[in-house]
Order: sequence, then C-alpha cells, then structure tokens
Amino acid sequence: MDRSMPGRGVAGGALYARSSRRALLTRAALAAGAAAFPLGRLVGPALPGAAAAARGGSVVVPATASPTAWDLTKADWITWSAVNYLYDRLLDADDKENLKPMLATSWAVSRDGLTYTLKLRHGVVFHDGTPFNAAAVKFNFERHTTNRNSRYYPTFEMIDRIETPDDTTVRVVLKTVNADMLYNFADWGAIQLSPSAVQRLGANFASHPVGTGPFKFQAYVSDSHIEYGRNDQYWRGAPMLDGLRVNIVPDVNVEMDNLQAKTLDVLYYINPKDVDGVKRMGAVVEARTVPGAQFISLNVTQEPTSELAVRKAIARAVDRDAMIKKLLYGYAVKARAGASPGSHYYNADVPMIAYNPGEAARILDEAGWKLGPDGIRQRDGKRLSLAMLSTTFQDWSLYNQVIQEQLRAVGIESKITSLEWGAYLDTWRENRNGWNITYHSQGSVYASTAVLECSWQPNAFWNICQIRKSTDPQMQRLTQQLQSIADQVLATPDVAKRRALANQAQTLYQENQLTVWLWHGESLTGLQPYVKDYDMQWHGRVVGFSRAWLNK
Amino acid sequence: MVDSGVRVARWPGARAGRSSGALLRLRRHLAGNRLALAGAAYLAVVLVAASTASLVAPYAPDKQDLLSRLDPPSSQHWLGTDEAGRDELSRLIYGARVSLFIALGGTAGGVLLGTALGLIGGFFGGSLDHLTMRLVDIMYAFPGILLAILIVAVMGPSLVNLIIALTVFSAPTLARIVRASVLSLKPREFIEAARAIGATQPRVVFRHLVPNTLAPIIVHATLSVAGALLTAAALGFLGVGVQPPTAEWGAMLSAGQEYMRNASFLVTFPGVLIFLTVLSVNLVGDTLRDALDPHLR
Repeated sequence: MDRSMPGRGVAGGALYARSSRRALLTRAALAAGAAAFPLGRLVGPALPGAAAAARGGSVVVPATASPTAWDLTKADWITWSAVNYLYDRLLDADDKENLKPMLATSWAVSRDGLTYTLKLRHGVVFHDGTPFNAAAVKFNFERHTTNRNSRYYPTFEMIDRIETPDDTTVRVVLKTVNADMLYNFADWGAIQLSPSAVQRLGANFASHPVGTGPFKFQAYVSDSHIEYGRNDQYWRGAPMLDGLRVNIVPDVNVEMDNLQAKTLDVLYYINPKDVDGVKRMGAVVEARTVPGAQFISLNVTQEPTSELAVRKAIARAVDRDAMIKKLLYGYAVKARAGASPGSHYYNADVPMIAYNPGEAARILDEAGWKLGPDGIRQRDGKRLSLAMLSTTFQDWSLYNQVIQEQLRAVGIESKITSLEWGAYLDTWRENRNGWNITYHSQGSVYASTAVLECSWQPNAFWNICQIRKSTDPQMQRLTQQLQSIADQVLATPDVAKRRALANQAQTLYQENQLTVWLWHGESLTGLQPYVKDYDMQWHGRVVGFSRAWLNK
Repeated sequence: MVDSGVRVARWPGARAGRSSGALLRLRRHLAGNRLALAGAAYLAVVLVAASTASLVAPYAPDKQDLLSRLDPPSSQHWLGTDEAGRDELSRLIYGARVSLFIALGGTAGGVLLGTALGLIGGFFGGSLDHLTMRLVDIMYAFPGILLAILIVAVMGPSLVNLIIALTVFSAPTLARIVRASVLSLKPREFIEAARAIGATQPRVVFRHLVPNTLAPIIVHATLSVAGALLTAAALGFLGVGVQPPTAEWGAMLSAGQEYMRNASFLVTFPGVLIFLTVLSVNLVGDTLRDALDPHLR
C-alpha cells in the first residue's frame, strides 16, 4: 500500500556499521571518490562511445495528487515523491540501508544510547540564502516535538532536549533508548527547512517552501503542477538539469499516454501488467523489492477467524505462486514470515507455509467443519462463511476475488463488501462491521527498522490482526508476549539480539497464524532512456535527479 | 361500493375500449419506425438472454481461470476473458440480468413512490400538497447521482440499497407529472360525477384518477428506465453498486478500464451493451409516447 509509514520497527545492522572497519574503509573510499570526481561535474560511465554529460534541460515527473503538506508534518509517498527535490535530511542511506552522511557529516552515540552527537556540514545555505546550522536543526526537530499533530511527533517524542554547543554540532538527548534513532535522522521527519522562511511565511509556507535540496521552488498550481529550478549553491554541486516539473496526473492511463508521448519522463508505480507496454514505449523499467509485505489480514476477534484451525486452513488454501505468476507477472517474492529475503531479520528456519488445499481440508475436517451438500462446510448447522472486506484501491479487489475463489475450493464461502479507500481503512483498522478477512499491504521506509515489514506490534496504530482487542485469554497472553518482544526490539541496538527477537515474533505469528503472508512486492518505475545518472532512492520508490542529465 | 355507471371522456388509453386502440396505435408506430422495431427486437433478445442466463451462458459468471487471464476473444471464449480469467460473454449475460433488474426495480420503485406523492399532493391539496411538493423540491435540490451515492454510502452497498437509491433518484419527476395530471383531472366532469353519486375518496383515486394518469406514467417510466440503467452503471463504475464478484455492466466497465491498454475488449463490450440498451429503450420509449400521448396526435 505504501500508504504512509506505519510500523517503524527496529534499527538494523547498519546502525552501528559506522564503527566497523569495513564501514570506515567504505567511507574513505567514497570520500576519495568524491574528491576525484566532483559531484557537480559528474559524467556518465567512462565507456567507449558513452555520451558526455550535458547541462540543461528539464525533466517532467508525475504525482497522482497534490502534496498533502509541504513541511512534511503530514507524509505519504505521493507527497514525498513530489517535494523531495527541495530538501535534504541529516543522514542518508544507501541501497543496503547503510547510513551515510547528508547534512550531518558524522555521528556518535553515547554508551547508554541516550545521547546522539551530530557534526553538521559546513557552508550549506538554504535556498533563501540563510545558513544551515545547529540552530536550524534544533528548530526543525522542535517543529515536530512541539506539535502533536505532526506525523513525526511519535518519531521524535522521546527527545528530551537538543543542545547546540556550536554552529556545527547538535546533541540530541533522549528520554528513553530508541535504537531506531539514527534511521529517524535519515527519515522524512529529519528534512531541514529554513527557519527564517517558516517563521516569515507561517501557515503560508506552502506558497514558497525553502530547503537546502538540489532544486528550488518556483511555482505551484494546486492539482496541476509544481515547478522547480536548479539550486546553483547546492552543497554537492549544482545539478546538471536546469529544472524539474512535477505534473499532477491522477489517472495512471493518462500517465501512460504521457510517457508514450514523451511529455512525462518518469512513471511511478507501474502495474506489473503494464511493464511490457512501458518497455515497448522504449522506456527503461527499474524494479526494486521494497520494504513491506502484502498479506491476508485475519481478524482474530471475529468468528470464525478467531479459530486457529480456520486461519490455518485459509493459509494453506491460497495459491501464492499462481497469484505471483499470473497477477504480478513475477514482480514479487513469496513471503515466508513477514521479513523479505534481503532483510537483516529474514529467517529461513521459520516455516514457509505451502499451498496445500488437501491439508486445508483435513484441518477443517478435524475441526468439525464438514462439507455440506452445496460444497460449503458446516458445523452444528452453521456455515463456514467469512465477511471479506475489500476496496476499489489499485488491484486489491481483484486479489480479494481470487482469494475468495480459492477459499471456496476448500469449502469456505465469503461475502465481499467493497468500500471506498478511506472508509475501508477506517473499517479495517477500527474493527467495524465484523469483517474476517481482507487482502492488505503495508510498507516500511526502511527494512532495517522492521523485524516484520508491517505493523505487527499489538499496539501499533495499523495493527494487522486486531489482536489487542481480543477477549480470549490465550490471545491476551499472546498480545502481551508480542508487545514485550516489540518493546525489547526497540531498546536493543545489537543486531544479533534483534534477529533472535525477530525470530520469536515471526514464529509466534506463524504458529498462531495471525496473518497469511503473501508476498513482498516490487516497486516498478519507468524512465525515458535519455534520462541519465538518475538515482533510485528509497528502494526505487522515488527517483533522485541531483546528478541526472539528459542525453537528447 | 357504488358504481357510478357514468361513462365520461377519459384520457386516451385508460378505458378498456381504448386500450386495444392504443395497442393498435403502438403496433402501427412500431411498424412504421424501423429503428424502434430494431430497438424492441434488441431489448427482447437482451431480456430473453438475461432471464435464461443459466441456460445460455457458456460458463458460470464467477468461474475463474488465472491461466486464461485477459485472453482475447477466441473460439473458447467468444468475448475473451477478464482480469480474473472469467468468461466475458457469460458475465455480460449474467450482468444483463443484474443491470436490468436494478434499472427496472429502481424505475418501478420510482413510479410507485412518485405516483403516491403526486396523487397525495394533487388530490388532497393544501398543506399535504405543500408538504409533498417541498419534499420533492428537496429531492430535486441534490444532483441525482450525488443523492444516489449518498444513499448507498449511508446504507451500505447492496442490490436492495441500490434500487432504493434509484427509486429516490427517479421519484421526484414522476411525482410532479402525476400531480399535474391529477390537478388537471380533478375539476373534470367525470370526477365531479363520481363524487356526486357518493364514490369514496379511495374509489375516486384508484378507479378514476389513477387509470387516467397511467399513460404519462408509462411513457415517462419507459424513458426513465434508460436513465436508471445509466445511473446504475455509473454507480457500479464508481464502485458503490453491486459487490464483487457479481457481474454488472457498470462494474465490469469500471474494472475493465484498468486494462484498456492490455485488453480493450473489457471496456468495449460492456460499453457497447450499455449504449445499445439505453438507445433501444429510448427508441421504444419515444414510440410509446408517440402512440399514447394525445398531444402528439
């Protein structure tokens, strides 16, 4: 779903990688590379016949909606993909989620894990000419910690105080240990806005947002377009492009037409069925497995999905291989237990549940659910019938219909109720209307912060199985057990220990069949072939253009 | 109950003697209008197919085959398969049943509610007339499709709620037509005569007024079937209609739009069916109006 950023989990192995010898060597190599090849003068690969990078031109990228907040106090992927060009964060992360410098050049954590000291980059200025310094960082943290309505209030609420001993040093002191904190410094909540612009413009900040990013704000017409111009003062060197335009196009078919007509240079979130079509247009398709999981959300508080046998039968009745092959055209990895294969927390010892309708039937038979004359199972005169919640969002309705058919094959009937996206989310999260089952998807910003790549913790806002609302004593014990693991994970910086905790959580989820893991989907992005040296960020969900150029 | 025995001039088509005359006129109009005849023939085919769907559809409408997903028209699947590998022809046939049921049900509901409101307002007059007509004004104040969406959103998406929404959608116009007819009939001699010989109010209404307002009701209802069909399709298209996997033309059109580039037949076939059905209903409705409306003779 990539809805927002639910389920911030745990910091990962990259957390303390900065202190390892390999990381030091890597940073040294990167620094040497940066010195040898000034980024503002970046050229294409030195291959025979390769075109030299050319300055000028502009790229046009799509967004399916207008930004929800220019200061990122609200956040979703659509907003981020439309406004990220304006901003930098304190830290960045590479493809493997190793943290790397951005506006902070180095960082250190105290032994008790409560104090983070960040050294800031010299000479960075905001688009309005004001300097970026420790006071600006303090101001930007306090935008969230003093505003309960900010999306990042929960992310930074454990900050006790922020000290600024000098212009380039920031000391963040926490009330409680949060092992994810460095990743929080690399998250959208850590973007740096110009304090003077925020104070001057107030609620009108959206009329002229000011950051330190590679492109400067020029114009915005709501529901139409955003225009950015090159930031010649950019600390990594001025971008090669003159500018960038975001066209707000709500319909994917229109976006496809625009890509074909070359009036768009990028196409986000390509449906797997359209990949061949996009390639036929001559575009390049980038595929990345994104942190997150797609799954069947089971409601453990509602009969009959409150019954373990029914949940286990559902898990064995769904043919994930067929769905991945025929509906997703192979652009997904089958999920084992909620952590994707590239994650620190993936564990091949947790059993992968195989498609086995015969086994599903046996489990139901043993539980007393016998096949009725119409092919639907019954017990004590009660039909094995599920309330299936659905929505028209993307392909979710199709997935639910396919799951419905596969469940019917083992004698489980289900009635679909399809709701508009907002109503669907409320109904699902708030456990309304007695739903039993629904296809669902959740994304994480970083895999390193999620031992299961969704909101598995019982007290999570978007919890995926309603477990904390269960009145069953056994489920209540399980709730306590899972929440205890979640709390330990957050307070445990050591990756090996986290992995053990992740294993426990994944095993509990699997043994109790609290959800049916389906797959880990890929982000598919199309780009015009003449766009060079772009940067696939956030596991392919956003394209960066700070070093891009056009080979037209 | 006393039969007045009075035989006075009524609106054409109401009296038994004139019914056969109206039918004759209708046949004559149909015979003289090839387009209307073609429309009637098309509607007959759709109605027969819809009512015998389980016999004529080659496959069950919900039967999925992921291996045959988005297959183009072939000898096995004459109109191809949809996004879940279901036979498109079978779904269109079953979808006709649902779409027509919704359209006819909504129109019938609208006729009943609109006629009731119009009769009450027109016959009783005074504060009841004010009340019913202000109610109709309120219903008119909302754009029809918005009102229908609101009703379905509040009551939940289901076939019955969809019909209720269409009922509310189509009732106001009928209410005004019936009220106008009643107001024009009330001072007529045959109504006065019926009252003079002691006919009760229900008898006056149901024996004398209703039969005389039937012709405009029939004409309007026929024409509003087309509107209801389109509204039902629009609601299905917007995802507030029947629930998946039930086949319904508007919902099929909506699901198919995602595949316009891969399988354009998924929007073409339901789109063409909706278009032809609405066109046919309008052609037949026009002919019916020509045959029954005295002002056009």
